[in-house]
Amino acid sequence: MLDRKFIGYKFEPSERTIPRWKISQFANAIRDTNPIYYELNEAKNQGYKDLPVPPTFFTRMIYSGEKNFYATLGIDFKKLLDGGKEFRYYSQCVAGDTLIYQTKVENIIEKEGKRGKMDIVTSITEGKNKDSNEKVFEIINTLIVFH
Amino acid sequence: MSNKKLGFNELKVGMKLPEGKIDPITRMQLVDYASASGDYNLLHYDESFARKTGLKGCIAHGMLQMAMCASYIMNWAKNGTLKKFKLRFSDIVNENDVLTFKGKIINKYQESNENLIEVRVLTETQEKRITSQGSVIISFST
Repeated sequence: MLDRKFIGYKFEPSERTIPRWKISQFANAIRDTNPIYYELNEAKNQGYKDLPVPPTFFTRMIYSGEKNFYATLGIDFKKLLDGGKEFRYYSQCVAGDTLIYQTKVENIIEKEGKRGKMDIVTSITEGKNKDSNEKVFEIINTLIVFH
Repeated sequence: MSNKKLGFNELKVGMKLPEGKIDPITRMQLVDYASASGDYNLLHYDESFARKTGLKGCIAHGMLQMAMCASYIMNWAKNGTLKKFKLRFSDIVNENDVLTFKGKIINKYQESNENLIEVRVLTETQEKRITSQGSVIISFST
């Protein structure tokens, strides 16, 4: 059973500037051939200031700070199951943008299922554009940790 | 798929999206995704390691499946703007699996001056094993 003192715990924020090549590399890895992820002209023709990020690109920012999320909460990988992910989008993010993002442990609750008792851990990571201070994304991450 | 833009008025609850079938997930792609995402868990590209954990072979990253599902949706929605995307993983995707994405409009509404639709999505393998299910909310300006 995980320590409830981590409910509300905030990891240190992180900062990351997104280069164009990272967007193209990610799009290639997911075999998305949409030219807006590779060609600046095409992105501009479609109304973007620069190459836009693919929707789940923020996966890279699911945990902020230097401290390891799992180690901090004492989560054993052998007892861990992914309970799902949710992305919420608030404003467009393109290459060259610098994002500041921070992870917070939203809740830890106990449930009982077929495989016995478990803790459901929900973390929320919020990303903002450093220059405009506009909110860009939220990732709601649900983890299942068996006792 | 056609290049025709979608209009909010044409979209109806109960409409099914054309199915999206993708190429088999290769080891090369798993390595590409590990590098692009920074998720270097050996389960995804070291077969002997994967077997030691009781798996039959390498498995795909859950988030790779989610990323490809997002591409499927946005390839259809084109001029739509993605607002929310939620997915739950229900089964393993193995190397060389051929995934098919399916979607159906389950809700259509307006909220804070936005035209929104909700699409239920599902991913299945060549053996009709469901590997993920979830929902997407997309806004349309016209």
